[in-house]
Amino acid sequence: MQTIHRFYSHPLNHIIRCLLGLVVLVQVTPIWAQDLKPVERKQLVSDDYIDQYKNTIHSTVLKNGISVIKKDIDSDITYLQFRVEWNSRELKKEDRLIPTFVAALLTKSTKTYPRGVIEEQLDRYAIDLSCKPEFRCDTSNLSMSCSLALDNEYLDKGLDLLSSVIKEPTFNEADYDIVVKNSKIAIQSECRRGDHQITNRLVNKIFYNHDHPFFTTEDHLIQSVEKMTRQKLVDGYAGVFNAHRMSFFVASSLSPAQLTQKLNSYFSGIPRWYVDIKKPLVPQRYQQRHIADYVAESGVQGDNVYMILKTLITPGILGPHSTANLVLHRLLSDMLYTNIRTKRGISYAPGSYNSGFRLFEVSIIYASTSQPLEVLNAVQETLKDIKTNLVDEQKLYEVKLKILTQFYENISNPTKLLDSMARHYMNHGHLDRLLNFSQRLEAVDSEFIRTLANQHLKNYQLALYGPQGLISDIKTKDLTVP
Amino acid sequence: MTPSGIKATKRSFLWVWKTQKLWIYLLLSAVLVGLSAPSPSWAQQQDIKIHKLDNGLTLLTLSSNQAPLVYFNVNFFGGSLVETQDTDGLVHFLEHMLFKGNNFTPDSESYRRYTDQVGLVDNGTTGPNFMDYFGYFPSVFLEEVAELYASVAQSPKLLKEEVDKERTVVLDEYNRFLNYPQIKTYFAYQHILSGGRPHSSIAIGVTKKNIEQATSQTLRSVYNQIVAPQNTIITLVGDLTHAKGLEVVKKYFSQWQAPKGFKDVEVPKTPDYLQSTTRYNFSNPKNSNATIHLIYKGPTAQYQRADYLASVMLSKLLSHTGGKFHKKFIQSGKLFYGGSGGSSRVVHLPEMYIYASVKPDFVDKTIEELKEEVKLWVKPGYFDPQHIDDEIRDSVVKIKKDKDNFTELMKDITQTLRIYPPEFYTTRVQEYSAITLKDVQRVVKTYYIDKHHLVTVDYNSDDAEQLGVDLNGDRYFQKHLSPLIDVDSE
Repeated sequence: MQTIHRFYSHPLNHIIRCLLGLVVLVQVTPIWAQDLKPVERKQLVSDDYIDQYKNTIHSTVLKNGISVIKKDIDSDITYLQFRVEWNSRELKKEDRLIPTFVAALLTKSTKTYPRGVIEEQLDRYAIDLSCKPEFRCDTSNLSMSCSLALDNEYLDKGLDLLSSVIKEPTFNEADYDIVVKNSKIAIQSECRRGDHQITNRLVNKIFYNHDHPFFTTEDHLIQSVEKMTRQKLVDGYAGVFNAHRMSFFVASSLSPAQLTQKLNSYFSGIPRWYVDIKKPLVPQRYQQRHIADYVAESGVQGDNVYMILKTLITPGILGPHSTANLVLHRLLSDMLYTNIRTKRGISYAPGSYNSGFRLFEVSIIYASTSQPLEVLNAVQETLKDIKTNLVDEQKLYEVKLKILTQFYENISNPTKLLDSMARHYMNHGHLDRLLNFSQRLEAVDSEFIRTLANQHLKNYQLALYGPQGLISDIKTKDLTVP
Repeated sequence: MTPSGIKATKRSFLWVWKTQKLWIYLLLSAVLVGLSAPSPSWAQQQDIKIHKLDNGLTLLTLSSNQAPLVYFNVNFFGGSLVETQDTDGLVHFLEHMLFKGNNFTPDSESYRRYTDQVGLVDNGTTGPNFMDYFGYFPSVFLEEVAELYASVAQSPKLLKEEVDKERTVVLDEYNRFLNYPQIKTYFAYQHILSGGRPHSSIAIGVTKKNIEQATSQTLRSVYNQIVAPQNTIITLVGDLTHAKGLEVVKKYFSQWQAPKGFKDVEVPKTPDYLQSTTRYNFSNPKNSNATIHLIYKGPTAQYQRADYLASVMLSKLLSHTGGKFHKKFIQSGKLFYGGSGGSSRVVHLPEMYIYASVKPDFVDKTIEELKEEVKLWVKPGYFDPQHIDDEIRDSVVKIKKDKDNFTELMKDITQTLRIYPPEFYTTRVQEYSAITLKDVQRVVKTYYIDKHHLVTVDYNSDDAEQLGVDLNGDRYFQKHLSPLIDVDSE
């Protein structure tokens, strides 16, 4: 039987690893080695935990071809996520907000439930129903989704509401006026929220061509509001709300047969026609660049500079190394935290993460600091280290352990689980990568991490944002990124 | 950490929620200060046990099989409320230092190495009423984490070199906090409410020089004020039995004794606040509309729980989409968002508030309309009793959802413990279900109608200039708070 920790738990491996770990620790931190023995490794879950978990996931197809992925849970609550593939970046810049406005108006009124009635019904039966995307300033939305969570006692009421919302929205004029009227404020709030978003905006300036579908600013969104019409929403909805683009992800105690029957009764009438679903573009301009760019912007109060280094990895999560990339970035984040905060204490929250898209991933290092050059030096040192040296086996084990801890936390949360399932299913067409995640994680080794680091962690783009005094002294030549 | 108490997922009008969340994010800012009012966020009641150790430590265990993980929280009563002007911000500094070495893991690097080896994902928080540290990890490492956490509480080193290193980090966090668009408002109104003692309610601290000058000794004195077993609640949630939880905590925490001369934490005397009605206008170029707050004295969750729960019910009734307030102000598009809330976390400065977001030229009219509206809240027919049943149903469904979700269970317990005594877990559904319309009306009469209050308005700087707004709030901030923040300007 496959187990997620057989490799770790093999007695010989365990002894070798403990010895190796001890040697490394003695070399690096003698105090630690003297004061504390390494913690004994343990098998986190029973051998059949994952197998049992896999047996609780089922897939089926409704009469009109809509895929349904279902997770059994022992609960009075049913969680459901409805997805429609609708990549907002396929749209012209001025139409980018169509999916967002459609999402906002879907739950406002339908032919069956007039204005105000849906909200009242949700409050009456304690039903959570919300649709996305929301306003985002710097990311791409690949799909539109509506989430439903409700007591099984009111499941039919909830499915009836969702069915009406999906099939017969009216895009009521009064609601349209309010949504559009309020949206400029909401966009400004979102785009001005937090300094990290401002630095993201700065990075986008150098990361994409201005005409690239991913290059979006507050101004673009405001223009989109100004050119919006109700008819655009009606047409946009009619163009994409097609069973061919739809899928359901459900966590419930209902049997798969019961659930399929219910979903068929509410959703099998949705028409289906073939469409060619476009994939998002890789930012071409980036690939032509080989040097670090540098954008700085001043004008904030306080004593901190926000810095972001951003690079791009292709292929993205459709590529074969997405799990290894995750390990690489957790390791990098861990090293940055140690080198910048624990050892030097020069930034509150340094770290790195990778953001996965189908055809590319974006790798980001971030820090907020009053000593930007010192932080940058530490970043350079860390990048050099991860590209040059093999990470010791103990460290790799620890990083994987934390990833697994968070993985278990994620799959124990029905909402996050549905998000993960939807993302995996829509990107890969199957759940293999999610269900075999722990095995894939186990297979990642130090050599592979070093190879990936050399392949991906280069050609950084850099943005700084902070008060004039701290920014103006920094010269481009100081910012050489390996 | 996610701000608490925002029950908004069922609103499809998402940006309203998002926008509202900005203010709430600032006010509640659970990461740093844990300030305002979560709605009573209910977790499952069954399978919770409360234990008391001989040394006075309280242990709460909750068994849940949603994940092979355990959540471990060590919570000390008394956060910034124990601070004086000279120790302003130092409880938060101390919280940082808890991760920087103890007798078991002698320095920050060894602490971190140890947590890495047991898969511990950890953090800490400081609020006006509490300081805590917490984390979740694979349940097979329960013993290891208990041993570490016991040492963190009992023997933090507070080494000079670690204090010096961490100082930059704490200042960095402080600086980030200062960049929130409505920070001036938040600091100023805490200053006004507290009668010039904002340090007791602003956990991150106001007086920058205290952070710059903190020493091992000053941090040790703060430690001695709040870290003692009789002042501690440990919570264990997840893949464990009650017996195992108790066994492990007894093993590592039962020998712990309070520092010599430890005195029970005293809640500061509530100042005679809000004795007149005043209005302050603030500006920031990052503000995108005008945000109004009408702030009144309120009940505390700790000492006036029935009133507090009724105030929570009031805010739910105002946001009920079938209610008169929602239809009149929100569905009509009059306000971008609006409603009522309250702060329970500052035990000595409880407040209730009415908030609204409007176009800047509607501010004055909206303030008057809201004040008139409050008077209607006690009239027969304004609130529908059916909506109280809806809210209770909603809270029961929330309990069921929390039971399904290890993450939510962790958040719920952490946030609830910051407000209520642990015994509240066993009675909360009954207490909340007992709230009637009369209770809500009583709260409105007691705390709102004809009561003095503070009005704050946050404008975008350009709007304020265009409308010729008297920015007396900015001046107040400049006079009373700036000298504390910017040490050079003194």
